[in-house]
Amino acid sequence: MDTYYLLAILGMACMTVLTRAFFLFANESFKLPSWLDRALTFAPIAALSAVITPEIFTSNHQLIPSLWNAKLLASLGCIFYFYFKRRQNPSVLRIIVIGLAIYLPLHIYFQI
Amino acid sequence: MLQLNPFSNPHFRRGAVELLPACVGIFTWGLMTGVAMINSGMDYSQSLLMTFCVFAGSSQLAALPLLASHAPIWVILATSFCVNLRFVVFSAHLRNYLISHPRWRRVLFGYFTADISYVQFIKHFPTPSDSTDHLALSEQAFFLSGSNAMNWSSWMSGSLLGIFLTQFIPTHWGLGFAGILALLGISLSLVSSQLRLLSGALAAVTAIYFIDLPFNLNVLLGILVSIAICDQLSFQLTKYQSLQNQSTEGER
Repeated sequence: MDTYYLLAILGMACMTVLTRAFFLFANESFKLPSWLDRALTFAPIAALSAVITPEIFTSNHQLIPSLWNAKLLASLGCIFYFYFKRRQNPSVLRIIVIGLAIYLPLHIYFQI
Repeated sequence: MLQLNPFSNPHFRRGAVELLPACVGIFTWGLMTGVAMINSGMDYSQSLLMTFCVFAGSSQLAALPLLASHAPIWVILATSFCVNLRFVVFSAHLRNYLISHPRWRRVLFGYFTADISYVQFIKHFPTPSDSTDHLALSEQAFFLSGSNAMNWSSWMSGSLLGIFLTQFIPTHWGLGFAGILALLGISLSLVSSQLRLLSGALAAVTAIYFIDLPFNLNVLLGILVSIAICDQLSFQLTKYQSLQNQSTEGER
């Protein structure tokens, strides 16, 4: 393997460690600001939403202008399903299966 | 504590089982990443090294075109760092849970905790336990290890299959969307209050509005804007409610 790839890949692995353990290196004496400590309760939902929605609503950094968008229709299907079944707390697997059942036909046969 | 065989520990198994439904999504996401690595022109040894060392899908995908065009290494590393910035936020959150563990173990936990295992862990343990409560601490550590093990093995099996069976996997089907659906399913189960819903909406609008920012910085910006605003709102709401309680008590 040439050194360029070796260095780049090992460097990227270091970046994974650096970012994933960023605030885990310091010991107890280091304290996070208290507002950040509280605000982090919103981090999981905010992070998921910030990762997912650009994937659904944009393509090549452009907002998809139409509702005839396979990813959007599949996501809406999942959201409706989840809303009506919310008392049974539907599993993620079901959401994936329903989402793919809507997405794959639309994407493969209608090219959207 | 952690010296016991983890597979016989009930909390380890619970962590693994709770992640199981999302595995299909993680697996297909890994599969498409494996295919993408080979299709970008990397050979088997490079792809395998990247899979096993880097272990971060979004940063791998972002680096592929840069590697193919032999971009300077510092550009690749800067890209990796920026694409991974959301993990910095996760590590701040995990800090309160892991701080009583030795540093090497904290860093190891950090390295193996990706999006889905982090979210499942926080969902299961909304608040960190007291640092003197050793039982709760080991329960949380086992749970997180179980989730991480399940996440890692489904990601890796998907990636390996993608690397070695590239030509048999139809890329035009868009199967990678299963990964997004897994994240969607988990985020739906997190919307337990109106404030949480607002938090998701704010992050979404910000991340889409700033889509043109380089290195996926729109994701980090979305998270920061959303948590800052929602924290202020919940702070003011609690203050307002306690004032109201005081005034009703005063009327009595």
